[in-house]
Amino acid sequence: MEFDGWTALIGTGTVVAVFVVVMLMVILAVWAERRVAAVMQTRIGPNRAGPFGLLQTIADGIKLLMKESITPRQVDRLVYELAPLLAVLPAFLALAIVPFGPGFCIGGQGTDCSGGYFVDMQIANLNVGVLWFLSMSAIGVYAALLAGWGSGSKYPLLGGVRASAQVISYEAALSLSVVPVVVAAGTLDTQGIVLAQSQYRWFLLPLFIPALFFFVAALAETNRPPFDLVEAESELVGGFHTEYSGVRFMLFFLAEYVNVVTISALFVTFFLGGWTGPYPVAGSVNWAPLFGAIWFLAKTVCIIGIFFWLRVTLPRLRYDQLMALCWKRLIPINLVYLMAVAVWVAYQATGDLPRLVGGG
Amino acid sequence: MSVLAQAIPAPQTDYTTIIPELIVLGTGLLIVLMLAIRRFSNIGWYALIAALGFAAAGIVAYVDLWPEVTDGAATYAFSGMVAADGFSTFVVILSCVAGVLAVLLANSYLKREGLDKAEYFALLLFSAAGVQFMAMANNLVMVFLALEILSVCLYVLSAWNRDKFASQEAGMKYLLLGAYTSAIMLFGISFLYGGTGTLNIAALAQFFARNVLENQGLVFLGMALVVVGLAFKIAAVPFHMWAPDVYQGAPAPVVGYMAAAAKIAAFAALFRILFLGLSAMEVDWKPLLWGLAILSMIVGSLLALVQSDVKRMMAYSSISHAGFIAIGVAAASAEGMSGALFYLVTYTFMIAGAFAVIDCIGRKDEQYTKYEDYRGLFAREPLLAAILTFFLFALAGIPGTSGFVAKFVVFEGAAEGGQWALIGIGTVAAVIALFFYLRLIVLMYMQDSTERPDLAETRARVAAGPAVVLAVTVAATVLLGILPQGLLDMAGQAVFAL
Amino acid sequence: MSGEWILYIVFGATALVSAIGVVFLANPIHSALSLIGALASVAGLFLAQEAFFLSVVQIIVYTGAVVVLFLFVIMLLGIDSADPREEQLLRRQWFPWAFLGGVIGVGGLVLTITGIDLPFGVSGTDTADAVNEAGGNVQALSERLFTDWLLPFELTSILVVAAIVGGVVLAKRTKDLRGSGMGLTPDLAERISEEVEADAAEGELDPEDAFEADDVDPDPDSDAVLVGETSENGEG
Repeated sequence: MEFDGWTALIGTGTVVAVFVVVMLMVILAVWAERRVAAVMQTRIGPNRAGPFGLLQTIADGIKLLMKESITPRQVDRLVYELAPLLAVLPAFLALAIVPFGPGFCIGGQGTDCSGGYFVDMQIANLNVGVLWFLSMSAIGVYAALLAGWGSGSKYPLLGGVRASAQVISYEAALSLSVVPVVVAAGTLDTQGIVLAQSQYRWFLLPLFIPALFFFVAALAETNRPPFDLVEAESELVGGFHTEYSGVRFMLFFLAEYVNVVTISALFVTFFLGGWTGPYPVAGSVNWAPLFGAIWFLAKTVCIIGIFFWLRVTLPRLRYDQLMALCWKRLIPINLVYLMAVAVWVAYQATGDLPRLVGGG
Repeated sequence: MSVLAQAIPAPQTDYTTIIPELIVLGTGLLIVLMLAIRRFSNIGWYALIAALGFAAAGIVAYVDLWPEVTDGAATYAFSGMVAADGFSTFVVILSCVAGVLAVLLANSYLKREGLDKAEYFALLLFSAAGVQFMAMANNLVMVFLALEILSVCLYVLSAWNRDKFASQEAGMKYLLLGAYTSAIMLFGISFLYGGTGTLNIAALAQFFARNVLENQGLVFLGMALVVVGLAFKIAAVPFHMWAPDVYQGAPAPVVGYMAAAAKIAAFAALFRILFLGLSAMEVDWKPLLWGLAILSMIVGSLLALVQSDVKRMMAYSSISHAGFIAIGVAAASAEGMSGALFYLVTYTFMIAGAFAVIDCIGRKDEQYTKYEDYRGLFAREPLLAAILTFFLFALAGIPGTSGFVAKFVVFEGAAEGGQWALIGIGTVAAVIALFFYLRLIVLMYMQDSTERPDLAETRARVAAGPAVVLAVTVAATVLLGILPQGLLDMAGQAVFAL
Repeated sequence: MSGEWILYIVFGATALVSAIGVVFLANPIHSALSLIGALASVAGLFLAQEAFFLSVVQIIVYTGAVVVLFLFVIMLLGIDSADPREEQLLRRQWFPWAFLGGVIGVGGLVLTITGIDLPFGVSGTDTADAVNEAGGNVQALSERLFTDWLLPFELTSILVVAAIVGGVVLAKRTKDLRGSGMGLTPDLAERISEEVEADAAEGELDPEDAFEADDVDPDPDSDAVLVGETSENGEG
């Protein structure tokens, strides 16, 4: 397969498609969150803009675009301007490795798709996909940190410092709960992880504890309740984005929801079998990739739903509880579990336990 | 699962070659683990464990490894990462001895100062393991890692008395400068790798045996930077700037250990890299070592003359000693190196003993370390003054002490290489050194302590640990001064197989 | 000109420019940001060498953790803007020497490297082809790490344990010192108060205002700079 116009077109098409799908999901997620919260609190929620208030998010977006973007006098211009970009950029870049469905072949023949073009249903099929996601979420820390400091005001600073401490800590927990998946699947490639879970061998059951911890760490990583200390409104006004308004605020808002979508999609990829589903079995029907994408999105929506559910249900943690949970519970238990998984997988591969424990 | 099907080959693990290191590291980890579970209120228990660990490692090294390694050539283990030979085993035993002395010194110090945290002993054990791995390292990455383990522990130990400003300052300065030189050394290692394509020290020698470089620039630069990194650790001039402040600020028991341990490790690595790995570049690195040796001896001795603090004076004295030891390495011969090894052994005992006395005289908070506080010491503390006098004479190299034999064998090694200029300068430096030691000694025997009622009232307390250290070090210094042959033979055996 | 060469030039240039920025930017936060640029550029250089794993890990470890901690410390200590007088003092003391050292270092580097035919030395054994044959970056790396490089790998963990133990021991406050201020030990507090009293005796300033006054002794030999800086932190 040589590089030509078609390859470039397919690449661009994938990027655009992913972008559109995710933006739609974000728009709906913002609306859905408010409606879900309303239902749970026996309110009505937004219902004016469009049918069921579906266009509410768009209306809010237009409002934010039209508003004046105020720059307080005491800010550090460079850092202040940079922070929103650093929030959005990694959020979208992390999406690159999410596999929305099985790859498919256009115009080619055979398993290697000779003479045609192979389309991955993801932006970049990296062989270190999992690490790419982790590195992008690591860069995401800077948004809150720099926004907090660059604003030159005390509440944002406190929010920023809290955010960095929280996100670095939970980054470790998040990484450690992904490692058992990588060990079990034997690859860092997200597509490979999905394939390793085909035929209902979802990692959710054998790796239940890492899955649970991944979810908890994901909540903290995206600063979602009950881990939203970063923007605890009763203590810190608006947290790190107190001094932001207009478009810049919208970028932070956007980044948060993109992150929620990404991390839910990755939860599905890592633990819920990704795009595999009961019908059709991959390759048996022409429309398998489409069904794959539908299964994938359906699962993702369920996970996003749990995010919303927890938000209205749980009270916010105290800061020391947050740190204790991460360092004293999640990380040690994850390490033990990782060890167990590694031994089990190695035993499966070699069938030779004595050698594993150093018996030569 | 598909990937695991092609299982990787089992690593080459020859634990028998690193048993002493495993014992030392295991003891350190045991202490850390015990601390995590339950803390004994008396840290004496941990001191005991640490001392036993050192002793066990040293005995295993001597009984189990020493006869093996002195017979034949080096055995390489862990895919050529470490080399077990006479040289490394000698250093391992020496570092265990230094470790036992350090534990004995520290126990009473920590209790007296209220700094009794048992992590001290864990760090001591880790740092000793760093020394041992540095001597065994047959790979530049191993050298670097071992150096870092040693250094990190020493940074923390230097700042151990953290409520004291000088100690904090010592730790901070040591850390900042040490981290900087570590980076320089790493830079050098990467240049060596770029120039030769290998990190293995034995393979470096093979590379030079097979290839002739058109331009040695890259390799020379790499070698020079590695030498800089190690010269910092041994506090050789012009990389000595940290030593006075660190020696003055760090707790005396730490200095008594650090001065010896860092020198042992860095000289061992220096010898292994230069003599075994880069012997083809002898003409290039010899002048560097000469320069370091000459500058260290002269500058160290001269600056020690004008000090007014005993610990600071000892720092400059240790700088000049580094110069003397460097003569042995610069001789680029087995004789020279065995001389340097002998020197390191005697120095380990002398410096531990000297700092044991300084610690006792300094009392709580080490408040009495100025020359003024030593005025008339003999009248107040005759025994301590006499012992310190003895160590100062030994450090100066007065015949009858081990210091004299050490200087003699180092010069002998240089003489065989025909480096008379070096010997000449060394002799001059030794004479200058005698002056600054004498200056302190004379001060101690002056009879006008009446002006210091604060000192006259209380007597310095010598706890059991330092007392044992003093007894052992005095005995060793006398013994090695009169009957050095046994140790000289051992040092000769250590480098014979190389 | 191959793609690799172009990437090398681009990332090498950004790495150098960012590194210079780290040194010369006045604001510590901007310096740290510049450091992120430098480290990310190095990740790019790894990418150009097809070392994907190393590249991504470089970003996770250095940009994701190390520099975040730098920023964290800078923000917590609040060293937003250094006292210009201190800075000058520093510059006056170190600049000539640093400059001299830099000139010698760079000169030596240029002289050594220009005397060598590129590509220098020998190439390593782990070429891109060899890595691909072993099944990609991660597999090749892990195999080497857990066979030949097992001992250094394990020693690294000892290094980390030693560093953690040391860090905790030094950082953990003893109870009676709690509330005495960040980094303000009794010994230091005593020194500061002595300093302040001495100044007051000379009629320079009122002891009450000492912390705000930021008095810096222009004498480079004294420790006043350090004390002045710490008193600022101690107050916060």
